[in-house]
Amino acid sequence: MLKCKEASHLVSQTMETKLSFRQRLGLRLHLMLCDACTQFSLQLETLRLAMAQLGRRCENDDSLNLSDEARRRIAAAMASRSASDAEARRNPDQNLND
Amino acid sequence: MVAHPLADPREWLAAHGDYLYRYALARLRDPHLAEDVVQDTLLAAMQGSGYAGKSSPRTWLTGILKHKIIDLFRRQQRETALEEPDDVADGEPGMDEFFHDDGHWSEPPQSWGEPGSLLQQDQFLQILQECMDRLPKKLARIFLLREVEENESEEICKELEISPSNAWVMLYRARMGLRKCLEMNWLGTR
Repeated sequence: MLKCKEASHLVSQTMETKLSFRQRLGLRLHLMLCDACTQFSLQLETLRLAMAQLGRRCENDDSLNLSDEARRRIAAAMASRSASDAEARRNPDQNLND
Repeated sequence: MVAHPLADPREWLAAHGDYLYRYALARLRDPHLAEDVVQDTLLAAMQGSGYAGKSSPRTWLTGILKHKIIDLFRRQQRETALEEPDDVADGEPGMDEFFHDDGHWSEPPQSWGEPGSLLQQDQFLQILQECMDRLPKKLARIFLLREVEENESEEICKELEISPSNAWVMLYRARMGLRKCLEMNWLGTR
């Protein structure tokens, strides 16, 4: 009979991969008899849903924007990149000689 | 070749900067890192053959961003590995502190009630965020990659160059830590 310690690891592993027949059988038997591990299994399912929701919330939160400082910094980095690209196009030979 | 109307890089920051930032923030949970990775993404997008018009510019940029986030995670995992010796390499789940010597839970998990109503509660999600911040960084990163980016653990192993048993152990530890933290900090407040 599986211990809770082993069963809890298998519960987490079922979220990642297919268990062997032996492992599946052992876990199913354990969960039939063990309320704590059954609760643990339900908690992990809730945790998965909650994490996905946390991610979606952040992605859709209009109040989370690039700071003005970051926007300026990124714009400047892009401008400097396109200036150096233009320079490289004007003087292709120079690049070859580098 | 005719330039695509939205292929002007100057448009990207204004049109997609905030979207990319939120996408990165959801996965990195750090405003500064999220800003940096958006900058890396836009600079990388300016290089190479550029936008080919096969998908929307936003989808194309998001694809680049995903790679940049994974690159960052890989770098960070390596750096963390130097600071904290790797104790999951042998695939041992550990977590002894959660169990009695006979293998039973020292504090058996409690019922959290209906997940549907739980997920409606701002307080629950708020405490989950705080618990994420308390998790060891290495575990938090792999867990975000798994549960927010929704990568299969097989992909994560390739991306982070770790073995499957290593990944399973880290995900197990992340889940154990989070559920315990939630139970202590959220069940206590109900």
